[in-house]
This record gives sequence, structure tokens and C-alpha cells, in this order.
Amino acid sequence: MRPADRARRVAVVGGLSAWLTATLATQHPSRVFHGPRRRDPLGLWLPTWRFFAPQPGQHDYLLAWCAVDGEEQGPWQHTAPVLDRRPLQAVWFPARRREKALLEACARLLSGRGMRGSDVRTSPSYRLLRGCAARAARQRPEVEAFRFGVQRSAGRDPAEEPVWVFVSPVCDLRQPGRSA
Amino acid sequence: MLSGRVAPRDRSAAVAAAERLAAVSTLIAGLEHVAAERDHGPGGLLDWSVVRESTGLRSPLARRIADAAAGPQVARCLALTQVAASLALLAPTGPRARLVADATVTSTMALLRARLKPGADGADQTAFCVHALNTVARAGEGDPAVVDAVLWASALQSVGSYAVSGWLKVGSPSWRSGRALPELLRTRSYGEPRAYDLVRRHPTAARVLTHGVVALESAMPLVFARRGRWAPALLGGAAALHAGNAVAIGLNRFPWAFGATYPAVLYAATPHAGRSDALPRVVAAATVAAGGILQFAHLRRRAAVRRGMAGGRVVRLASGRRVVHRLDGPAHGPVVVLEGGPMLTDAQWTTVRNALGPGIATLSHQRCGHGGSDEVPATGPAVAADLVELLDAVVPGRDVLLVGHHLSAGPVLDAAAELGGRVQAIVLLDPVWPGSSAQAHQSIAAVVRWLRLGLGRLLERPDWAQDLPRAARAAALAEYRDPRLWTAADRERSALRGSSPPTRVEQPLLLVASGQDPFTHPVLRGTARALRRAAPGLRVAVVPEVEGADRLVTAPGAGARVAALIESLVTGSAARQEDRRAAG
Repeated sequence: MRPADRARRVAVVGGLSAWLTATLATQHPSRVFHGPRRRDPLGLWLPTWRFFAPQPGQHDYLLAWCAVDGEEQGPWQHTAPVLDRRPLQAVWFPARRREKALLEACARLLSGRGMRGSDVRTSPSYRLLRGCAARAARQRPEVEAFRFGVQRSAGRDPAEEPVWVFVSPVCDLRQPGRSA
Repeated sequence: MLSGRVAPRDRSAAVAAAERLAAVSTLIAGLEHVAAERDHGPGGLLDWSVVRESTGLRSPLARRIADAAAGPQVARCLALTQVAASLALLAPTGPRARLVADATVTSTMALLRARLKPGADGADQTAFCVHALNTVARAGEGDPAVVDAVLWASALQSVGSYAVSGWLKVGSPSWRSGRALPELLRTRSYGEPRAYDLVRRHPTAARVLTHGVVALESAMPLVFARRGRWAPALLGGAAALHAGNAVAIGLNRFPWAFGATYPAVLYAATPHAGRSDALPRVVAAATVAAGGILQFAHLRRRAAVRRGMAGGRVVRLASGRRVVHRLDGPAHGPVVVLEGGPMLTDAQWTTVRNALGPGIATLSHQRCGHGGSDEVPATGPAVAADLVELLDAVVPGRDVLLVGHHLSAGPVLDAAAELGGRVQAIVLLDPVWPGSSAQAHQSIAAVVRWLRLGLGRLLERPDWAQDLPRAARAAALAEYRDPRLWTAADRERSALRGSSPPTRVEQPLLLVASGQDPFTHPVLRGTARALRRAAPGLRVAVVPEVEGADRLVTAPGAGARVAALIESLVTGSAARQEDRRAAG
């Protein structure tokens, strides 16, 4: 075997072994022990092996908004209700990322992760949800200000009522990013 | 089907089958991306103008590349390129074209990853890994050992993912009780209504199914048992699980992405002459070596932590306990006493200590249970009493300025009440009093268990680490990664549980808050009001550039500001002391 071929073989086996060992080292059930994951901020090359473990999702998060006019507050409306699964979605499901992104944004908002300072309005999750609610509110030209809120729901389980887990300050629709 | 067509000994067929199955996943992903472009625009839940701030990318070059790839036109081109390359892999193309197609899909996925990070899932990761591995296999096609290493890597990723997922579920009460599946299926985000209806009407069957999923995943390493005889059955079960998940919880790309690893699993599970098994042996050796390195680092760290702080000396208190402390600066005049919160290490005071300079005396110590000091007494931590004893032993008769950080605010105020007129002023940095919840204790206890097993090196790096100079950072991180700090902190926190700010503080009091006005801060508000009642002359300073008590003392700007505030009090205190001496 030529030295170059041997070197290539060693590089491939060594590199793949290091990758597999690093992957194994990042499977701890607690996020606190995910230090090595800072080398893979996009979650691209260190796969997560903990699908639905140790705790699977148990709730939906619903994003809702309501118009605000001075002291008056209109009825709450959901921005994009999650629709029931359709058979085609077993193959083709473009809305899956959006639905998962909503769950992630709500979970991050409630955990306070990603905040700069103690002001929740600076967190990307808040701004994503606010933007989404603003897009829904803009469908009604007369709306100038709104609030948005997050409900945690047990989905189809009738035994649990949805609960409000977050309600935003009043947001000014004419000035994006501003709270009234 | 796969076992019949791929398994036996044909490495090229295994690679080709993996390419085709993964290509279906990336074909769907590319088309779904284009179909859901609106989600990435303003008002979308994947709005790039917001998402770009939370990618976690630190390198400016990586951020520029992500920005360029996430522009709407470029992203669409990349997604369509991914579709075209996936189609090329599904077609009967030649080896060179397949190499280019594999490399293309790998690159487009990597470039689009920042944009697709929110909402990404295991199918994305697995498909990326399969295409990246196949790129290596195609590039090294002339060397069977390289292709075998790639197939082994894919197989180990696959089996590892099922096994770890299953084993973690075994430890989860939700999965063990059988509640996990119905609770997942009841959600509208995941669950298909008829599937939820079925598990609701047949709870016993649902429990059996839940346990079956856990058993199947946990048993996946058995694919390598009995010369791979069980592999087809286990993989068949896993394929059925993914197909069921696609229908019942909408994980539509998983069957293809994970199915793409099965040819490699079947190839690796069936031993045969001429196959190179170097990779699993090296992986096993590397894993053992990594475990050994973690343990070695753990023991070294432990020894370093128990030696105490840099420049520290040992003093025996009147109570008999040995405490490591550090006294810097002039031998006369007031002493600034730095009392960190339960999780603050002495090295984290470096920024403040350096900013104060050599002209001001500072005293810090490692409380019982911390660093090189004796254990916490059996009766529990006596933080305030030990502090008073320390001052009597180390700086007897000298005036002091007490600095209490975070949860140390309570013990510092208790010590101040005991010391009376010796205390010229008190500075509290983001002071808090713990609630009565035991939740913090449970989470700390879980961390301590893992740290005792030597996993300290795997802890997430705290934000404050970036602030400190190299030597101080190493010392602080060593202590942070050692279970001793966490255990002592847990005991101190527990001892403080249920305590509250005093009703009266006699000495001048300065409250320094990070981030925002403490009277409007959601956490500090109650404390700030209580302290204003206890000390009507309370002064307040805000350090807006940082958030959190730790970075208040570690961040260069914030630490310097804190030092300046302390210095102004010391100067005032020294002047008063001089006046008293002159008057006397």
C-alpha cells in the first residue's frame, strides 16, 4: 500500500472515530452537560440521539392576539390554529417546521433563554412571536395596537383546560418592535 | 427487502441504497423548504432577520456565510440545487456523478442549516450525516477499507441513536408508566386524532405499545449479535415504528433518513471475510480513552481544587475550622471583604480585585466546604459566624467594608450586625434571598451525581468564563467543574431557604444591580424594596451593560464599575477614620 493511501485510511478511520466518540459524549439527558455542543452551534454534525426522551412533548402552545384600543381590549384570536393531521402529511408536510418552530419559540420564551438583560422583549423568541401575531393583526386595517399571548394546551385531552402562560405588553402595530 | 438486496457482502450496493433512501428525505426537505418560503419572511416563525441573531455562530466569517446563504433568492437556489442533486442520486447515475451529488446535497444542507435551525429535527441531522458519509465513501471508493469505515460509522450512528434514545426512555417515569405515547398523541402539533382516539380507548394496548417502542429501541445493539441474524427483524421493527410515526405524529422524513442507515447496519451486522473492522475497534478504544481522560482530568481538578486558591493562606478559626483566605494590599487602613455567592469562586473576583489595585486591601476566603477549606460542619454552614471569626483572626481591629454578592447578601448583613461599628459600609451586588422551593436542590443534586462520576469537563461553559484572564479562568472553571463547589453551594442555599432581608441595617448600604433599576427588576424588586425599608439611606447604582450577578463581578467593564463604587466608599471610610484619629 502506498503511504498516501495508508495516510488517507488512517485519516478516515481516525476522523470518523473521533466524530462518533464526540457524538456519544453529547447525549447526556441533561442540557447542563452539553458543553461540547458549543463546537456545533447549528446542531449540524453532532446528531442528537434523544428522540422524545427522556420527556416527550405533552402540550401544544397556541399563539393568540387581541386588538387593543386605548383601555379596550378585543377578543383573543389564534394566529394559526394547528390543524388535524392529514394522511398526505405522512409524506409531504411543509408546515412541520413552522409548527415545531412555534413550540420551540414558546418554550424558549417561557424559559427565559436567549434574553439580553431581563427585558423579555429583546429575546428572539419574543420577537418571532410578536412578528407572527403582528402579521395576523395587520389583516384587520383598523387595528393599531395589539397584545399577543401564549396558551399551553393539552390538545385534544378534554380533562385539561388551556392555560395562559404568557401575555405581552401592548404592542404598537404602526411601529414594528415598539411597545406602546 | 433491504436484507435480501443489500445485506450480504456488497459494500457498493449498501452505499447506493443509502444514497437513494437519504435522497428521498432531502428531496422532500428541499421541496418543502421552497413551499414554505413565506415562513422565513417578516412575520414568519422562521423570520431570518430575527433567527440570524440566535444561530449561536461566533465566527464573523461563518455569520457572513450564513447571511449570504439565507437570502431569499440564494436560499431558493440552494434548496432547488439540493432537489436536483437528490434526483441525481435517485437516478441510475455513475460513481463520479454520485460523488458530486452527495457532496452537493451535503453542502446545500450545511449552508441552509442556519436558516432552518428553528424547527429542525433528527431527520435533517441523519440525512446530512448519511450524505456526508457517502461523500467520503464515494471519494474513497478505490479503497474498500475506507468504504467499510464509512459504513461502520453510519451503522454505529444509527444503532447508537436508537439505543441511547431507548435507554433514556427506560429511565423516564413518563415512558415507564406508559403515559408518554397518549400524552404525545393528544397534542395537535404531533398527534393524529384517530391514533389518539385509539390509545385513549385501549389504554392497555397503548401501554404495551409504549413499552414495545422502548424495548425495541433499547435492544437495537442486538443487531450485532448472532452474526447479524436478528438485524432484519430489529430493523424491520424500527422501519415500522418510523412508518407509524410518519402517519401518527407527522414525522414524514424520518423513515427515509433513518432507513438510509439500514443498509450500513445490515452490512456491519453480518461479519464476513474481506471486511475491514478497524473502525469499531478504534471507536471502542477512543471511547475508553475519552473516559480515562475525563477521569484523569477529574482527579487532577479535584486535587487542584483541594489545594485552595492561588496566593491563599490557611487560618484556623476559633471554632477550630481551617479556612483558606487571601489578603492583598496594604497592612493598614480599611479592608474590603469580598464575599461571593454560593456558586462564585474566588478566582471570579479577579476583575474586581485587579481594578481595585494594590492600594486597597482586599480579603476573600473559601468558605467551609469550598476549595481547600475544611468541610461544612455537621450542623450546617455557619457563613456569617465564620466570616466574623475570620476577620477577628486575620484583620483584627481593622475597619472593614463588606461586599456581599447575590445569595451572600443575607450572611453579610448578619455579620455586619455582629461587627457593628467596624463595618464602614456594605455593598450588595444583585442581592437575593432564596425562596422556599426545593426545586433548586433537586437540580443541583442531579448535577452533583454526574460530577462525581467525572463528567465535569462536559458541563456547559458558563458565560462568565469569557471575561476572566487565562489563569483565573482555569482556576474558576476547575472549581466550577468539581462537585465540591456544587455540594457546598447546595448546603448553603438550603440553609438560607426561607430567610428574608433584615428589618434594620445600621451601616451605609449600597445596592448595585446589573441590567436595570432593581425597583423594576422582576427578581430584585422585592429585595430592593425590603432593603430600602431596612436602610432608609440606601444608595442604588445600576450597571446596565451586564445581566446577572456573576457577570457583574467578572465582566471587565462591570467589574471596573463595581470596583470604582467600592473605592469611593473606601476613600470616604479612610477619610472618616483619619478624622476620628485626628479628633481622638
